[in-house]
Amino acid sequence: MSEPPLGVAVPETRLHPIYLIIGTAKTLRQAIPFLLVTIFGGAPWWVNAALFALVMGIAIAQWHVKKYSVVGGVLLLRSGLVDQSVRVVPVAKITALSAFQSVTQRLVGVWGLNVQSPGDRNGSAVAIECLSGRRLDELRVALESAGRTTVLTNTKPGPGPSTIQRYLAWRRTSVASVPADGLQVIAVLTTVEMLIAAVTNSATSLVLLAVLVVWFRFSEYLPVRVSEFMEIVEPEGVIAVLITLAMVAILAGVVLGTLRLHRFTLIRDGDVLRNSRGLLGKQAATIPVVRVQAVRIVEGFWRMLLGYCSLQVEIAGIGRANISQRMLFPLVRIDRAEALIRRALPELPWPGDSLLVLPVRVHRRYLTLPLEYAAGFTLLMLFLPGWWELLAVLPLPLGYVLGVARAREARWRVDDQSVVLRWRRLLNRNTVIAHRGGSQLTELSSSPWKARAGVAGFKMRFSSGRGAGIRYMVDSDALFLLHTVGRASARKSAHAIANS
Amino acid sequence: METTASPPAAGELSAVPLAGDLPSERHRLPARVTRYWRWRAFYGSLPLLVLLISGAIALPWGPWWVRWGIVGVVVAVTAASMLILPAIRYRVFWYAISSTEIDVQSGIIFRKRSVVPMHRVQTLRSERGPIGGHYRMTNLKIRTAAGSVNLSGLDRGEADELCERIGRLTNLADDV
Repeated sequence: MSEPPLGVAVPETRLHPIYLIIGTAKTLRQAIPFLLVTIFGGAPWWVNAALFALVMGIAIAQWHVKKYSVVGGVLLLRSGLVDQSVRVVPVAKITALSAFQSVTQRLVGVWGLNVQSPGDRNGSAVAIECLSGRRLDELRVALESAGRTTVLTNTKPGPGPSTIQRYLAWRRTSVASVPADGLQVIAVLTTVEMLIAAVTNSATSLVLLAVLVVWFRFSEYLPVRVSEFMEIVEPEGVIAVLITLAMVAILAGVVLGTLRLHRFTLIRDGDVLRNSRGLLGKQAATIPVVRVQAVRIVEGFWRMLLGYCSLQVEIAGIGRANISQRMLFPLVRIDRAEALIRRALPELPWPGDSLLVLPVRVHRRYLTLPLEYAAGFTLLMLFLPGWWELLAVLPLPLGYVLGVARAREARWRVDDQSVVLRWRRLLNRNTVIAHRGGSQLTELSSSPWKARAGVAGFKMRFSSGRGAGIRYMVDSDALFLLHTVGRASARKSAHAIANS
Repeated sequence: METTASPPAAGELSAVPLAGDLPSERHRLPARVTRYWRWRAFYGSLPLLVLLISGAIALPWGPWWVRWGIVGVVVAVTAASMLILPAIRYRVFWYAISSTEIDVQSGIIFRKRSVVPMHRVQTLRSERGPIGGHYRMTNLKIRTAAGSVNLSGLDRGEADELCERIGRLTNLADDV
């Protein structure tokens, strides 16, 4: 990115005073052990009052010292009472901004802002908790201005509609794809799609697993009346229990999904992508397009059967921990995914030719690992009691099917601008479309057995901390990818050589 | 986008050779690195060995052959790490550096060749412990935003020179 603007874009500002309540609650939470001792230990009332006053005092002092500013193209966050700390994030290094509003914050009308930068894959580089709508807008304008506009010293935001206002104005209309002032609505998640996304989300499976465990562990403690009722109604027995638990899991998945994905909206605003979502708590993220290194198309098992997929972006700093932040769009029909990506990110190059499949002689290699695991599971299942032992017949066929699917679905293509890799992990099929020079690190893996069979693995890693790779491919192809992917362009190389 | 097979694309793009493609450009570690790795493996596993042997003698859990069997396995792994693996690791490992990338091959049975574009290097970290100090060895960790590559067992002077060279070459525009 170009040089950040100099000068004071945002002067030293304290957080919204509501932070006093949030800070007090936070300090009270930390002081719970002491409070338990004083309350249940029979201490006089004034000791508890003094403790509470101390907690309040700490919260006020923390609010007083915690200040943020944007000066000389750098975001500064000062905090700490005893150990004072200053967190410094150059604006030019910011890879994404994510504004959020929990239910509590929404009730009192404040926002939080996560500022993401490279090299911090497990969370935000800086999180600013309590900002009023106006302050949030002011800060976002200052942080988004790097390389785009010059923020003048001590100027107030212009009279035009704020980002949040623009969101709200747009959301009230539902008119799609009308570019106005560089603002283009790319896609909006409909209610039906949201429900499909919620039901097919992995959270539903996890909830089902949890309720199954809870049921089989604690069902014996049910009251007698409930047990008798369960014997009366149809269907009864294990099937009824399973149907009920599945419905509970689906309901929980729908509730969670609705809270998280309600009215997911993707907007292209000049050189940034914006999204907003959420029913009770609100989230709005900003991603500079120039920071997007790759797009990942994820086809989960159920979604693939229904003809849907989800889209994710690879951005520095947003790695495995931030599933929701890396989401480009949660659910789209597979045949429309390419069109959506092309509209949202026209800068992302697509390969002109079709993807290359692996030669048949490599397919056999894909059977090895699943069958080894399957053999292990088969042995373990032989120790299961009673009829459960019969489950041992499943792993080997499933392992074989997985191996065949992995071999048949693995594809790749590289050209002057882009690289595409497709592979299956277990249930999900992933396709990554990346700038050819977008990866941080490329790896070729081999072993004596692979070398003898003339195969090798290739993997590329992104600054998000995630990777894309094909486990087995023809070794010359893997070597070719190692030579072409991730390397600086010829012009850059020449520049580097000249400098060295 | 999804169509059936077509011939491999190798050759369609002009692939510039990597630094490590020329055997003459590959740098190997000094021969004394095997002794360094041996002692590091020994001292690294010493606390676990002491703990397991103490447990096997003092704690009355399980049959004696299980306790001493676990100790035996750990002793065998340590012995292999000291006697067999360093020599293989030494033979496999090489690195090559050009003005545009760092090319490293490492591994023992499973080999990995990593290529780090020079403009992706974020930080360099050199480490030198007491054993490394004794053998004049330095470990260099080359970090990118996606992960790191280790050059373990560099000669001290060579590591300093590499740090200086990579630091100079990575002074390019950041575009992570």
